[in-house]
Amino acid sequence: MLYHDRFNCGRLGLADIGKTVHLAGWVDALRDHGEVLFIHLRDRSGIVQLVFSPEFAPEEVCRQSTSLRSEYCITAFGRIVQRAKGTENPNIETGDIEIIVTDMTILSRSDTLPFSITEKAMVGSGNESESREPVSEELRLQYRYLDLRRPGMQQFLIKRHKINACIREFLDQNEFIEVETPILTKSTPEGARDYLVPSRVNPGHFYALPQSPQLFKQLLMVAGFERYYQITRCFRDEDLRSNRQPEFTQLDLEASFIDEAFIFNLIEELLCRMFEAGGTSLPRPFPRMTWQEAMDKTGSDRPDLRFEMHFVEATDIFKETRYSIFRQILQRGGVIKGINVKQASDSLSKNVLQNEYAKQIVPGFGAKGMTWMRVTGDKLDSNIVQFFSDQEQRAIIELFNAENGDVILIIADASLEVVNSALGRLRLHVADRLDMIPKNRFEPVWVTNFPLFEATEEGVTSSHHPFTAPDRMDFDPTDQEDLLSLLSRSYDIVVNGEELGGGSIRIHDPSIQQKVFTALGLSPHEAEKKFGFFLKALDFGPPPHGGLALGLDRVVAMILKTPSIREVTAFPKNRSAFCPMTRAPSRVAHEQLVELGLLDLGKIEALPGSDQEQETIDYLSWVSRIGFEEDERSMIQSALEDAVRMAKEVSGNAREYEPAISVFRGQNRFRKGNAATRSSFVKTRDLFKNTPFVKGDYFKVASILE
Amino acid sequence: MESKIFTYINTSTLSREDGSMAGTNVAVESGISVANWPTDAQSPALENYVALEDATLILRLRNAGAKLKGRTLMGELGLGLDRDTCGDAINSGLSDVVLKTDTTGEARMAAAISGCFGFKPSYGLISRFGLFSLIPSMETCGILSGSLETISKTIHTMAGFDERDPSMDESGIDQAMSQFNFQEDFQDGPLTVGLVREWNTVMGQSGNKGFEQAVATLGKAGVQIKEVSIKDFSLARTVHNVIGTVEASSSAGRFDSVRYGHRTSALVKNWNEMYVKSRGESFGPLVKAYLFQGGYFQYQNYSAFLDACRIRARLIETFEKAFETVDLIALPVSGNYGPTTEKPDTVSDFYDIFSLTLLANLTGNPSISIPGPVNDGNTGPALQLIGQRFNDARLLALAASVSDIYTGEMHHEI
Repeated sequence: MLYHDRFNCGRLGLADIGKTVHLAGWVDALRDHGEVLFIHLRDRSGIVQLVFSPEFAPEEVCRQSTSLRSEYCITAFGRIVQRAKGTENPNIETGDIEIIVTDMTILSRSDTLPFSITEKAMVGSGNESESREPVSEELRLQYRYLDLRRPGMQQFLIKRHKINACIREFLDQNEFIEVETPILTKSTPEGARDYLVPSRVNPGHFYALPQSPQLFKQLLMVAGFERYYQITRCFRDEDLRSNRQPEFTQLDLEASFIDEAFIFNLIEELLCRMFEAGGTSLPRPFPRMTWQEAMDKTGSDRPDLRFEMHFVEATDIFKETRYSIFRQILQRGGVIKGINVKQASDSLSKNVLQNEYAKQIVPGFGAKGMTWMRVTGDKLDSNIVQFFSDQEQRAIIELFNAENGDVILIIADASLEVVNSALGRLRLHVADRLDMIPKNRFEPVWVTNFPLFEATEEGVTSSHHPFTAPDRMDFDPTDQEDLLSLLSRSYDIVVNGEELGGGSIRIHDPSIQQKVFTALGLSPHEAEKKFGFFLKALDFGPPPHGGLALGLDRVVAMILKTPSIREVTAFPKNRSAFCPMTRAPSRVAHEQLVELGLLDLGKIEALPGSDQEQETIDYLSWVSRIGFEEDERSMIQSALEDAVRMAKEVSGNAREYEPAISVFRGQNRFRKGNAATRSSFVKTRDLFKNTPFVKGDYFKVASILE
Repeated sequence: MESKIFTYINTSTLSREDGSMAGTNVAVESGISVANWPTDAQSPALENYVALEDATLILRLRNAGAKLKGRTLMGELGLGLDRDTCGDAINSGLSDVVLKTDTTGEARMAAAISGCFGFKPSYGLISRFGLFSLIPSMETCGILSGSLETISKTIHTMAGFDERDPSMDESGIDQAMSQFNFQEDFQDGPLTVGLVREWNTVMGQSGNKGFEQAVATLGKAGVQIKEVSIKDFSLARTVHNVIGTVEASSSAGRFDSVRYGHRTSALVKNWNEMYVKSRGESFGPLVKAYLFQGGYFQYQNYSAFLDACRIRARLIETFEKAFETVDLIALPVSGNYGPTTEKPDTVSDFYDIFSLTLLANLTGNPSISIPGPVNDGNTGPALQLIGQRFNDARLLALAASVSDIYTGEMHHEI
């Protein structure tokens, strides 16, 4: 069978009536009307209805058609006719026509499907309103090739392709060159864990998969390409989070002889084009906020600007307050900030404010408490309002621009970070709860000038990476205070509170680069060991340059409004970084490990004698989750020595006996009936009586991850 | 006085007056659940824990009119006798019965120290629902009392099938209960008491004059003495140690500081650290060393655990065989070290103390300690008798005859 004259199902229409066409695709749905069989044939372009009728098709074809089942792959010849009046199907593009089949061949058969693929109900089948159980994502990922047959999923990937094509076209117009950089490379300084690849040829040595092509793209600038881009895969071995993949795609670009304005212009234009591919237009120019402004106004470096509710700094009006909680916080140099939730007093009752927000939600955000005030008429109404003087109350109303029906939420704490972070999360929580976030609206913003460094216990660390240019060059790398006051020439592009990408103008002066390394506590020797190849390159006339990387999966997911980046990834891993289809990662053969020299590695590294024993204690302490103090070590150590001796004493003894786990073999007993029942202690809440920490209806534990 | 013996004293005087246990004062150690009583098994792992409901055996005693007196102190999570006060509760006359978990011999040893009877019932006869010890496969509710009759009555009240305990042996229970119900004549013909040939090889003990004399007294009173061989006798403490620590390591998993127990006040980064810190602070040195040993067998040498279980199987079989030729097996309660409430420093010290009582825990046999007969200067004056499984009523009856021999003997000497 030849396919050169094949037509696409979804592109047929009234204009094609009378043509004889050759089609191929999958059986999307069937409807048997006794003599006549209707099927929906689906290919990538869409769906068209085929009609098998003994009037037109040879007996053999009709007979074969009765064996068709969902997702059989077939090819068919037939004549296009207009559907009879009243039988048109408005649910499919080709609903005005159908194909009278004259010949058909089954190309391959399908097993029973693990889940239904068809998305369009056939008219008249009565199934239109039938609500389908959502298929579990695990099952979808296991049979991803079937999941991807669904037109909706195909559209996601097709649109992603179009967005990619649009990127390439636009960057090509702007004279960017696509250059590929290595996947097997050396660990780069992004700060997440690397995926390591053992080298067989150099036993005991490892490549790292790139967390980004950062150093290579800067080297391409040194090499004089001036404008580079790449749509590339990056790898980060990070802890599990719902919307994260161990490998992800990045649009990475870098340019020489440019400044921030060039990047803003370029990326705004690019993003507008990308969003247009998904049918959304973004307003230009994008607003800009410095990091400081974003933190002050929203408590977040990823401000969601779809709604206002900006922070109000209220520290000053409480300078003389009698309210002891505020007074104590101010004495400790603290701050008081709040938000005005406009016209929310109907939705936020006293009970909700006090018992939910002040007692549970806000403490969960890390603040000790929350003060709330409802505005009734021109008065404030709250459980603590009596502690505030009239003057303070008037100042609050004025400062917060408060009107009847507003609700003012205030957080005070000795630490500005705590106030910003808790109030920022509260702002989002309230907005979400009161449905204040407009759907289908996109509010981009540039967040610029992040601090160059963050304080750590040992000194400072880079907020982005150590190649980001500072806003001034005259800093003293040994003066921590000076270092923490430095801002960077960095910029993040944020849309709707989600960071889509970021970048910076880079350091191109080797002496400044060395100063940054010194500030980070890297000795020249260590810097040489880690980035020697890169530092060397900076000695050979590097151009001023900067760039940016966009998380393409996230951008595409946002443009296509999918709930997860997995929907726009052909073969993603699940939330446990596992692929249910290929079952990767998997164990490997012992021989492979031997060949890679991975088995010997431990032996070389392991230290003999006491350290090995120390490891046993620490290992047992970890697997048993029982900590111990150093002064208990020797006691446990000797107990373990006894255990080893006892193991020798019992081993190999009484071989012919079955182990007696108990005197009497326990019996499985099943509760009567098969309905789940709740313990009466749950109903009475007695179950919580003995717990050291309880929160609402839950046992409270430390967070799962750091 | 009372407050030194009891950590909690029941002020409620409500109890039935018509039941079989009416008027009997029962003290309960803190490892057995009594609804609304503090139940911390003397461990921070159960800090501030208040039982939500009665252990099945408590419920049965309550229904039979027993007067629940209060809480006695115990070794942490039932391991050993550190700070134990159950004997004092009897000696002071404040209670007629003390309930004390026996997984290694604790109840019998405590009785030996205080000079009363201590009984460990057959494994699987009394429901373990609501008991908190670390070693489920050896856990039984032991009873201390000055009166064998009271012990018998208490056992009879507490025993019987309970579907909340999956380790109950229904046919064994039937047999044991029928003995209690039909107080038949337990002995026709002369009584035969077995002496374990290997007993003094444990710890290389060089004879125990008091015990030899006690046996000789039995012989004089017409009891037949017969040697039996228990091949694995000297291995028993090791087997108990291996199995006990593995079960402890596993069953201590429930002490997670989430649903109950001590939660660390240290700042922790994540819940794993919360577990490590909280549990590290929850267990005393003996329990901690015990759990680490269990961790070793569980995670690094599981085959040693299985091998220990094989030896346990052989021990059970040897025991059953021995009882084909003898009615009881006699042993001292304690070896040369004498009974002691002293705090053992190490797991090994702990096993030194209980090396002769742990056998019955391994095999599930009933065992009783009788105060008095083994008089060897300062060492333990108590004799231990082990009976056949689910012949608890018979063991108690025979223990009464044996005890009579000694009291008669003592009268004779006076």
